Amino acid sequence: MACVPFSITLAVLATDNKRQFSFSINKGCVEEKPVYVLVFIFRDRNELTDPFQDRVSLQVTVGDTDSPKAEKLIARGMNNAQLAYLKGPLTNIVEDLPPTGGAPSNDPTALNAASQILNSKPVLPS
Amino acid sequence: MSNLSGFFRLIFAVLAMFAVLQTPGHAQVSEGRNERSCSKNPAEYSGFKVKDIRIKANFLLFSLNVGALTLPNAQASVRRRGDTVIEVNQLFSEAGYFNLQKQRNEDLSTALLSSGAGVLAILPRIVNCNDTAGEIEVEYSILGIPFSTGVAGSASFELPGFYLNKKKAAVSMDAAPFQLVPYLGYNGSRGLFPGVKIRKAFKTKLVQHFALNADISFPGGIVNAALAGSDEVKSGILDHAEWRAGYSLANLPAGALRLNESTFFGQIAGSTRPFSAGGSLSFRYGATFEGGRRSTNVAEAALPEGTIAESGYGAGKFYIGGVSSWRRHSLKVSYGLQLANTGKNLQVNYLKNIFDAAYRGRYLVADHQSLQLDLALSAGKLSSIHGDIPAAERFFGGNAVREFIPGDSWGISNGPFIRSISQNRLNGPDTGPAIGGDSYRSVNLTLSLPVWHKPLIPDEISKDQTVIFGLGTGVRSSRLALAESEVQQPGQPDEDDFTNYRATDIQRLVSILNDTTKVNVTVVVDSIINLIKPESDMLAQQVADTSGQNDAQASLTADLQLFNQVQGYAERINLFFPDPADSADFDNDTQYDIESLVLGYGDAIPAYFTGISEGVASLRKFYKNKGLSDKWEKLDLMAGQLKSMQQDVLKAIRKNYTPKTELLVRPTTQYVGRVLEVLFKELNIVSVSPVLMFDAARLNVMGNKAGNYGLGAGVRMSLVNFDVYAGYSFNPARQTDHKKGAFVLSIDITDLF
Repeated sequence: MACVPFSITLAVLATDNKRQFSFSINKGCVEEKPVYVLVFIFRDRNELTDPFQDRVSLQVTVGDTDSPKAEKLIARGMNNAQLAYLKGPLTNIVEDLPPTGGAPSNDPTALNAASQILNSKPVLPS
Repeated sequence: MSNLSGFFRLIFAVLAMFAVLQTPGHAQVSEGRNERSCSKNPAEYSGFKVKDIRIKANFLLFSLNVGALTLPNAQASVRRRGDTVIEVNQLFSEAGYFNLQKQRNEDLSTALLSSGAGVLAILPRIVNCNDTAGEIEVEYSILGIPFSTGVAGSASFELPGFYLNKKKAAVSMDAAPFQLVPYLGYNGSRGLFPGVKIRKAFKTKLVQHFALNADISFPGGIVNAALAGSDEVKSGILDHAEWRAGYSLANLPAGALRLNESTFFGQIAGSTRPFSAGGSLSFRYGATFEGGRRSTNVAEAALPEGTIAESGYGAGKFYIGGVSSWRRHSLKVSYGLQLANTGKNLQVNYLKNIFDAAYRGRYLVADHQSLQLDLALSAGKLSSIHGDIPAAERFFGGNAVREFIPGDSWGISNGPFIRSISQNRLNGPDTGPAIGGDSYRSVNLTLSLPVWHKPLIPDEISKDQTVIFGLGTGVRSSRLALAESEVQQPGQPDEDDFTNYRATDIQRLVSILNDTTKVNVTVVVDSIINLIKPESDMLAQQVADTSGQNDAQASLTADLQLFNQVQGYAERINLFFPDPADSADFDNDTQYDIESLVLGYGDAIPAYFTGISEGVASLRKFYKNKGLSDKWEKLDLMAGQLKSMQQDVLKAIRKNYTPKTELLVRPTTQYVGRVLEVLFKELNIVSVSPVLMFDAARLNVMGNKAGNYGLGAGVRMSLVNFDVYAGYSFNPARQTDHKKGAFVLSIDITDLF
């Protein structure tokens, strides 16, 4: 079956109404093989009346070995553990990064942490 | 059917829609051309010339800064990063194709975040490929759905869309600081009447706009002028409040009579919060206090006892009503009470009771073909308490009825509506006093069914497995996010509630699904996959072999799509089938897996068991044509086994305990499902439908019955949810002073969600 490109994004507003993130998984088809790129965008604000400010985004290109995991994430959607990981550990890491105004960050720890989302029960890398 | 203000709302909605659809590089309606998906991998088109790049966002629902999201801007962003991007009249590259997809996704994700929260899906496609000329076109189809998470106590879903939500269109129109709209109307009773609507907005808390509606006929006319304001109170019983104060003057014919009303009024009205997400049930209530005069041109002596030609007028009008919508049905019911006097004292001289109800149902006959049924019932009674009743207060029927509270956004009829008789001409029996009724009843029925239509979302997208499963993924993820958000709200039951729910109720569902003594689901599913494989492979090969032969390939592709549907759902069942060992802890997703398997999210994202059953049913014709009916019967038998298992699980779900947080989240998820269902299965960008009309009305005039009925036919032309009705309604049993019938021309906006 031909490779079918697709992008799916979930945007979530945290319960405190002060933090917001979106998580996208982009599937492309390059050289007859699927390519996956994960994008995590984090925004926050100090007060409820303030507008949200783009803080940091992370872009992770998934390697060949993790492609089946990425495909599974597209097929099944996020599970509880993955959503909790995005809202908790990963958001906490991104919050501590210097603001990039939404431009892609190249912080290796954060990028490594973002790539862990592909695991059905992701944990922060040591 | 709406009044003139509805018309202006509608015009705005349609203009807004076209503004969005015609924005270069942003969103285009399919322009009648036959979009043909190209089935090869993108890599095989490397070096082809890109003839066109389109963004198909005609079903994008969240607010966007359109200007910032045009195609050239996205291409420029990719170039700034030093990456390749595809461009019109340049050679295609897979990397450039993917980079533009990522950029669109990034831009739109930001827009989605500005809507609060939600789901976004993008499906890039290569279409209309010409192998001989080495040319292709590229299309990015986009669907965005906003919803809210994280706001205390509100698992809510909102459609702030450009054009599909008339409320938003009305709000946008109200924001215009000054409007002046001349118009020309026609009615058999009044003839041609020119008019004007003026609206001036103010930024004060008490008064937000002044509205003047005036038209003139010869002789007579109508003038309504009011200052009005509103506020969003956001408490349960008073969610929205409105007030108006002003003056109205009407001089209208009713056969030989002329009805004159001069009224000062002050009105307050409120509505409750919808009692479930999406406004499935809400109530409206209000009161108006009026003073002025009522008169007719008839001599007092010609009127029956208890009716007077001219008097002062004072009244209190009260009403309560409710509107409910469920799936493709809506029902509005109202009751109005008027306590009035003739201005001589503080007694109630007479009272008026009104009951008014309207039902609309859309019955899906086939995809994008809904049989629409409109049914309206109305009844009223005028009773004397202490004294006389002004003749102008009696009931008059026809194809335009004065409303119980003129100008109120909650319309209640104040007389029998019959489309075959001109305004106010149903006013008495054939031989008897033509002075209007002291009570009435009327019923109106309208039926319409599209015979020509163009789906808003083309079939090649709405039936594409990638889109359907991708949306299922998005809805499932967002549904999970909503549930998790609700669990974290203060005052919600703690996680133990969910843990117990999953350990008992969900575990029970898992046991049913894994009970192989009845149906071994995974074995049945694998058997289906194996059984269809030879035909599926053969079709795939034939599709590849007919590349370039458009008609032959289209037919084969349609068949192949049906096989892919069955295979896709079968694979999904295997992927989501629950493991008994992993279903009782708080973090597991078995609950959502079972939801995807047997419940689904509306008809657009059906349960996987439903999808496979429907897919097998649709293969019947193919197997019959190939002389393989026996094989199809085997498939049907297996699909029936899965259906039986699905029914068992659904029965068990109905008996299950439901945690409170689930009750809060479900309406939102169901509403999302309903929206997608309307978009994918029902909505047309344009359609034409024949219309049948039936009206029956009866007036009681001092003990005499004046009844009539009308039969009519016409056509409904619809642009998305904007409907124009045109036709003619006959009077088969007309009175001597009635015409043969009347033309019908009206407009309406269907509330689709």
